[in-house]
Amino acid sequence: MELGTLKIRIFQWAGWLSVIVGLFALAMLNISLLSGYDTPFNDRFSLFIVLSILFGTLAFFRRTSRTLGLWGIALAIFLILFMGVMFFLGWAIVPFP
Amino acid sequence: MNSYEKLLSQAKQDAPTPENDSGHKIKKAITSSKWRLILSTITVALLIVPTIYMLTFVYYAFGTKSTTLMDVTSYTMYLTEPNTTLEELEFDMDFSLFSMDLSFEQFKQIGDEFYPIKTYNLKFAFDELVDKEISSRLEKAYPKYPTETNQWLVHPRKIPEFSTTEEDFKLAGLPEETVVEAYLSFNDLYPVKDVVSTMEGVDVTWAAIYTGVEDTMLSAGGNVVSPIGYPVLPDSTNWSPFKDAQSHEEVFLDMLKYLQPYEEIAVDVSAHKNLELAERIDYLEKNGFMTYGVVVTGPKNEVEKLQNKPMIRYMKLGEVKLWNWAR
Repeated sequence: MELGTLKIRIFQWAGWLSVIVGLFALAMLNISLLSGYDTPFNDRFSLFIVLSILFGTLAFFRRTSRTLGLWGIALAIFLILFMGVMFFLGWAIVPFP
Repeated sequence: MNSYEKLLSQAKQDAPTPENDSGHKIKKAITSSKWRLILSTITVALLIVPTIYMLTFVYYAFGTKSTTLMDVTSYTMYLTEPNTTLEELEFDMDFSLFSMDLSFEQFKQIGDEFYPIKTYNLKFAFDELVDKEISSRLEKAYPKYPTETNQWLVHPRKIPEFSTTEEDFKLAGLPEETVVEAYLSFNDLYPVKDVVSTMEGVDVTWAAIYTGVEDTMLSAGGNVVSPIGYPVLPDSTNWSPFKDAQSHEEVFLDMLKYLQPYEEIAVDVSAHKNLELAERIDYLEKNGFMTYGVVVTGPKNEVEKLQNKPMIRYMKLGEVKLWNWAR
C-alpha cells in the first residue's frame, strides 16, 4: 500500500470514528433520557466528547474526510451544549440542592 | 528476460486494469454514501429527544417557570385546604418531554405534632395539569366534591349537612389521652385576633375568611365556591410563605393576588371547582378580613370546653391522635 493511500485511509477512519463515537454517546444519552436511568457510559460522557473532537479534528485536515470530521465535531458540540443547558437551566428550574 | 523485466511484467499483470479500478472506486463510493446516509438518518433521529429535553428545560426556565407552578400549587394548598402545611424541600421535581412531574407530601397539625396526610403526584404538560394522583392517609376525609352545603366550616347563615350533636357524642366518647382536630363554625363574623385570644388551651391553626360569597357558597356568576383562608400560627420554616410575616392577612391577600393569573391551574390543583379570586380579592380589599370559622387542635378535653362558648355554633370533629401535647 502506498504511503499516500495509507494517509488518506487514516484520515477517513478518523472521520468515521469521530462520527461513530459521537453517535454512540448520543445514543446512550437518548437511552438514559427515555428510560430515566443512567447508563454505565454516562460517567464517561466527557471522554466520548473528547474522542469525538480529537478524531474529528484529525479528519478535518484532509479535504476528503473533512465532512466526516465536521460531523463528528458537530455531534460533540451538540453534546457539550446539551450538558451546559442541563446544568445551568437545571439550577434555574429545580431550586433545591 | 532478466529478473527486473520479469518483475515488471508480473507487476503489470497483477495491477488492476483501469476498468477494474474504476469499478472498485464506484463500489467504494456507493458503500461510503450508503453509510453516510444511514448514519445521517441515525443522527437526526438521535438528536430529537435531547433537543426536546433542552426545549423543555428552556420552557420551564423562561416560559411558565417550574418554580411558579410549584408556588401556585403550594399557595393553593395553604389557602384552600384547612390546617395543612407543606415541606417544599421535599418537593420532588422530575422533567420529561414537555412535561413536569411534581410530587410532595402534605402535613396536618394534630395536637402538637405534624402528621403526613396526603401524597400528591401531579403531572403538568407545559403549564396544564394533566394528571393528579392523591393518596390520602386521612381517617376523616374532607368532602371531595364541594357543594353549597357539605362544607365543614359554615357561614352563620348556612346550615351544615353534619349534625353537631353527633359530633359532640363522638368527641365525648374519646379517651382523655387523645388530641383532636376540630372545625368550629361561629354565630357571627369575628376578627381572627379576637378568635385566637378566645380559644384557650388549643392551637388555632387555620381561619376561614369571609370573602362575600360564603353566606350562599355561590359566586356572583352562580358557581359553587369553597372556603378559603390562611394558617394562623406563626410559621418560621424557610419555605413557608408566612415566614416572619407581620400580618398573615396581608400575606394571604398577596398570595391570592399571586394566584389570580394562574387561577385555572390553582382550581385544577385544588379540590375546589371554583375559586372566583377576582371577586373575592375585591371584597377583601374593600371590607377587610373577618372569619366565620376556624380549625383548632389540642387535647380532647380542651376542645370539649370550647363548645360552651356562645360564639361557637357548629363543631365538626376532624382527625384524632394519641396524646402528643407537650405543654
